[in-house]
Amino acid sequence: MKKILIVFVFALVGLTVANAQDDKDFNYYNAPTWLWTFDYSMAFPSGDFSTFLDAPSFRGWHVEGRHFLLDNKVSIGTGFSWNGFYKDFGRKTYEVEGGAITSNMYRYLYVTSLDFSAHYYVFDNEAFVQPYIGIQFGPHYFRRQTQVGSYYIEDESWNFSVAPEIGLYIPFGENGEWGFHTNARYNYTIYDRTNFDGLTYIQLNCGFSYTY
Amino acid sequence: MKQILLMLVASLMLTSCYKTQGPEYYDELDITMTKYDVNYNFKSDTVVVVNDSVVLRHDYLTDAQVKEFFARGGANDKIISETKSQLRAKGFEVYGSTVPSGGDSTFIKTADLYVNVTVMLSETTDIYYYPGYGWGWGWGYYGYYGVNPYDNHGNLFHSENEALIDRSADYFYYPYYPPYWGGGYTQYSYKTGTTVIEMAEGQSVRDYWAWYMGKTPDEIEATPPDQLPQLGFVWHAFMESILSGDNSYDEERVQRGFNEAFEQSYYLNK
Repeated sequence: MKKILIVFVFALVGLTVANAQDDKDFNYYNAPTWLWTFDYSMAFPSGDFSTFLDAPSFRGWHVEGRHFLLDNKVSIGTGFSWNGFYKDFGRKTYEVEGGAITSNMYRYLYVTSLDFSAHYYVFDNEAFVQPYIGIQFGPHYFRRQTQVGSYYIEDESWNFSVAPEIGLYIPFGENGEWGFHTNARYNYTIYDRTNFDGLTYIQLNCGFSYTY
Repeated sequence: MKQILLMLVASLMLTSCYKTQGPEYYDELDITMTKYDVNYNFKSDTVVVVNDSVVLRHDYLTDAQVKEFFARGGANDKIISETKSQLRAKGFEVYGSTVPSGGDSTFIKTADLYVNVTVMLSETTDIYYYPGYGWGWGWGYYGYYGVNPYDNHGNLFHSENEALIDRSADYFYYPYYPPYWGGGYTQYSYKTGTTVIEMAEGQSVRDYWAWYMGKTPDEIEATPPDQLPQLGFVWHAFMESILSGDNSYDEERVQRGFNEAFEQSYYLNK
């Protein structure tokens, strides 16, 4: 009985492996032409930006569509994202020339971006993991606000930004359309406004991908 | 697993736009400011006369409320008393402007500094349109920021916070939108209370009185601004609050404003 069971298990495993091999041999793989990513986005100020507001943003999202070219080794695309930065500085006294102000202070910065992108994919498109490097660039809309008590100073502007990035997506299952996606971007914006000499922040995106 | 991930990411993306930031309570909008003449030597001045009557400017109080304000033990007395108390704590010799019958009024005529307190109470009603789901949440539309410090003339004056809006006065014009859209118009009103304390150098006030006395209102009105005697203001305190309607809470905030104003003014210490 024991011998029969062992033979049965081996046969079952052998059959499964053979079937899997057959599937692979005969399953024609359609390389995707589009990749879409839908991400939750976090961001971390750096440089002059962190002087203005040194708190990470956990409010944001990023959506992007990419079209594959050149045997899926590269893609071009466009994306849209939003990040909201905020910090409550509490109630403090601020010395000014010839006086002082005591109040609660809040600082906000909202970034809405429209980006164009180009990416290079390290592995073949059948690989289990798809790491990539790329660059995003385009106009970003900034709304920066400092609120003191019930008053605020606001500055709105459109600025050009560029962001090198690395990331990867992992399809769910072999040739899966849906997958896991994550990337990290270093955003640099030409932002020459009120004590700023450029505006930089690191953006971490995490979500899912869809290829077809 | 895939569905769970999709729902998780979608939830994070949606909730990231939800407004949870900024001031939540009235007292977080209070502001206290002081300004002083950096060239003035406060150390040498010791005698201060405080006007016993607050200058009240308002646009909504009834006559009865004004009477209550100036009634014995009312807001006027509390504000003046607090002002004197704070100045005494700084080391000043403080007098009121009211001299009892037979009392000595010499100090009024020779004071080093004069202090006047003005209280401004203003009610503002605004109507604004909010477009419903989408714009107001995370896109930085008006309601999102929650603060409108500009009046109808573009002057920095009003204050408003979404969390503080009196929703009892809401008006919804649903016929213009499907109900689920949620857009409409809202009307809200709020009251601001501002206390200003002015401190002027004694001789400049006496010069002003000397010029002022005996003139008719028409003569004063006709005087070119550059020929008016200049009051030598050496210190100002400005405390602004949006009134909550809860008197004890509002009084606490006024008290805090006084404390902050005099704590800021370390240079007044004797």
